[in-house]
Amino acid sequence: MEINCDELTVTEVNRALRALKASDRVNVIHPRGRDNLGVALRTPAAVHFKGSVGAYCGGMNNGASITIEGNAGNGLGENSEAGSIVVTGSVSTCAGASMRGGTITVMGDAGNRLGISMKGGTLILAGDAGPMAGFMIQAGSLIIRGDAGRGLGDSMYEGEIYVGGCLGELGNDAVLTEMDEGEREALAASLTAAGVARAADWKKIVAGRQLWHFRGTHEELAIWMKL
Amino acid sequence: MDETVNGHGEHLQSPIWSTSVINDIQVKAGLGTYRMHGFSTLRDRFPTLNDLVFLPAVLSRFPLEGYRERCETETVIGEDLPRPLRLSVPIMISGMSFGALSKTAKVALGKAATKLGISTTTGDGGMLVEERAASEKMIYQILASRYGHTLDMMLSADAIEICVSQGAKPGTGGVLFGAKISETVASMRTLPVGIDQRGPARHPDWMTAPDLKVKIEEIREVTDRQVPVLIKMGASRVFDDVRIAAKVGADAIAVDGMEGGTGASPEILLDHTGIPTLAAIVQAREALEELGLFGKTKLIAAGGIRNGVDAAKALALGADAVYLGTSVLIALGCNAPRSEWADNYAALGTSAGHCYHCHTGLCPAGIATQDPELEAHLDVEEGADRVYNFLSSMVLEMTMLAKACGKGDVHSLDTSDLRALSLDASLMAKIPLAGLDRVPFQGS
Amino acid sequence: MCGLAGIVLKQPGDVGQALVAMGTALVHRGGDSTGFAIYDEVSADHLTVSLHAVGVDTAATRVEVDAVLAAAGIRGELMESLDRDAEFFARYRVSVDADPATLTRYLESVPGVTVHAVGRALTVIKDLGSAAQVDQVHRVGGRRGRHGTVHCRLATQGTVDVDASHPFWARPFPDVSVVHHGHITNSERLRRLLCARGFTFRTDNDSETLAVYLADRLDQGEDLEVAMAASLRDLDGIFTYLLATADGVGVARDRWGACPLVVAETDTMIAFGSEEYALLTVVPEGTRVRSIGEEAVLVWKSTVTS
Repeated sequence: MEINCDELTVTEVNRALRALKASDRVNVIHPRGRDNLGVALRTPAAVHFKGSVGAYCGGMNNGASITIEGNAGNGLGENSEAGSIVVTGSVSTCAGASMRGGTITVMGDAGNRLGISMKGGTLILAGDAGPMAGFMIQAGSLIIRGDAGRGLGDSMYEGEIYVGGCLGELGNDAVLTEMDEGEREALAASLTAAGVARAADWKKIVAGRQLWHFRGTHEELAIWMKL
Repeated sequence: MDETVNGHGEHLQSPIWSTSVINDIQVKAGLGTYRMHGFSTLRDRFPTLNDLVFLPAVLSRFPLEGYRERCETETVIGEDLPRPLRLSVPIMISGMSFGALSKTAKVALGKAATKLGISTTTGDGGMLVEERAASEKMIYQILASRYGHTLDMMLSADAIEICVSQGAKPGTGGVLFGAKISETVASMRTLPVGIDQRGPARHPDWMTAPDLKVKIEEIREVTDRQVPVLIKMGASRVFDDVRIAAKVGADAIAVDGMEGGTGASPEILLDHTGIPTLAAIVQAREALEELGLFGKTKLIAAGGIRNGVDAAKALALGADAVYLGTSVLIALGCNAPRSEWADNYAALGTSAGHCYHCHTGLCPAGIATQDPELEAHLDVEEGADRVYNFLSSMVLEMTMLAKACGKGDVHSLDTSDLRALSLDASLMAKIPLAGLDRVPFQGS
Repeated sequence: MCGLAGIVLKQPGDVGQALVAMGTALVHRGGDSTGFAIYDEVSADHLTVSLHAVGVDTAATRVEVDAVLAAAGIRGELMESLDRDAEFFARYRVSVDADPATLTRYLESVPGVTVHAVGRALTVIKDLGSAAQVDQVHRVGGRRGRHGTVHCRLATQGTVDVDASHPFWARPFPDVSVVHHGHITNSERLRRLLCARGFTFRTDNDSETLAVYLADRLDQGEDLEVAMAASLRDLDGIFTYLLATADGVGVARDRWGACPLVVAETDTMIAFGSEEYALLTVVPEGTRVRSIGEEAVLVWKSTVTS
């Protein structure tokens, strides 16, 4: 099955995608970087975009298996709740913003604010992440196989961030913590399942919990002033 | 002889170092941070809708019978869409979160709104199943935090509102202290129980105006272009901000003046940010007029709308509808002088009529609390009745004023029906000064 | 707030056409006004003056323009003109020896006239409407050159008028133009410092302040990269801007990264802009597109020199 974006408006493409059945597989050709493709899809159909997509592709994903053979613009898979999104190229800013469930895998690099405000789900980046990844991450797992930019995990809550490459300067209230063998194995398994190469070693970052209660202590002020 | 005591034995007050400022500094010397409270600004006077009066029909206009002749009130947002938002009267209940408010309060507001045929709005934290069931017309807010944000909520809504900021604390994010982060609230917001929630100031997935335009398109795609999309903003650079909001494609724009209420905010933001509602409405209207969108893109005025008079004045200044927040909570029972709540007020160190302690979670009225014992103080049916009564009184007030001005439709009220009682209000709202019959300093 | 794009060709070619294509793709980011800065060969003997007059009696104003040029001792030749109701756009050629500051002062002494650019290679075309509309009126698509930029404006502050649109010529420095996405929050302060040193401005726009700030640094001998690196330190607020000179185009991006920029390179060009969507109008589908990082300065020198 094929949908040609050159012949349809974004609304028409989305309506066609929403009409898919669970077992359907469709190629969406010539997306040419257009915005808002494949949003709010509930049915677990397989949607393959041949080419780069613009902003918010797969936004509010609720069950579809989306693959993008190219790059993706701002806000890939924002607020996804279920299903999966895989990007062969790189993503722009705010990929996986506020996602709550499901998985997003990016084989290339990511711009800034990867996984900002995550509330669940798993976000895997094979390449390098720009600054401010995992900002205010509340829950879920952010896995960066490559290098992480500055400000990683700033103001995080209960999410978990794993970095296989180099760490830039950590964000406010983000701290390194130990991983046990079981965690390392689970992480390796996730990456293998996602088709992402293993890393030699992993660093785990969690919240320092120093900014969860703003009581104006000297320690808190010191952390804040660093900004 | 003490020079700071006058001849009547009264202490002189420094206008700079007043007793409240002295106290404030002493408190901060212990606290080490800024002070916060709920409710609304407690600063001294500034120009408000109170400073305007109506010019009813006498000889130069024809009055309508206040008690007998009809005055239309229907208001529609997004009339060209498959599912417009139709309101029986131009009054809407504004976004207040479950978390800041109790579930009973949200449900009571929903019931009252349904009875009148108007809308309620969710707040920071998502939509409660119970509030959706109680409220026939529900606007669903998308905020910077995206707490509890799901596709189901979006698709069950009658309109979507992008909340950029609110009047009480523009430029900043939502606040909810640990005492109100109960198990339920925490679970809805994906936060640890009992922390002090400080929401982000910006949305996570759009940065500047062109991005917002694309975001609105995304929302329309998600909702299959069925329902209206609104943008709500605290009143700051209103002319520029409303122009942008209109250009990025909102069906309605809500401007929330500095009088706007909140469950919790830093004091300095309540008192020293944003501009008064009356100035905001005027600038918003001018921005829409410049774009040729006045009347097409709807304008909602928020921030300190206390009664039907305020609502009518807001409409006369250019609004198509008003948002109510604090006023309906007061109708529900906020600050009610019930003797059985005396101990609760006392525990907060206050009394009925002076309680601004929403941020503590110890609301004596059971409205701004997650404590089940306190929540039980609010009876949902009684609360709904009281809010409905208050809303009815507003409708009667608005239509009485409109008819006295010779209008068969509340939307016919306009700036020519108003005069200002003070120079400040006249200049800020660009309404002629009573007596002078023009706005001063603007030529002949 | 808006969209922007630019291109550096590896051989002189259809710069105008490429910029129109990218600008058209970015119209959803801003359609209030569109502006182009096109850099042709560097002329050895003349300066090009891009000029706009609005709210005027066009015939009388043209006569006045000729008169002030004569009064300044500058010989000017009208190359191109476009008239509308009480408005005209014109391109003049003047001797390369003319001092751009003096020239501009004389020209802008005529009521209603604003100089959009002066340069040995630079032509600025900016007008109300989308890229497609401006192209139709000003025939941008037919213009050839070595490199150039385009800006699609969504006016967020101030009025939508032609003279307040981008690109801003960094007056009075020849061939320096800036297009900018974002908002510089300390622009008032920077402007005051520049005014105190004698610089003048035509608009209240923060982007114009940026243009003059940068050109001032270039004029003091800093090269493109150094001047732009200094701006990362001196500017507060959010910004991604393209600074173009006769030599090429540079981009600077702030530390917040709120304003995007992606770049792609092929055998024939380097194209960059706010969205991949725009680049795909000039580079083949499948070309590697990468994002510019935060707190970054990058310069693409035109490989063609006159």
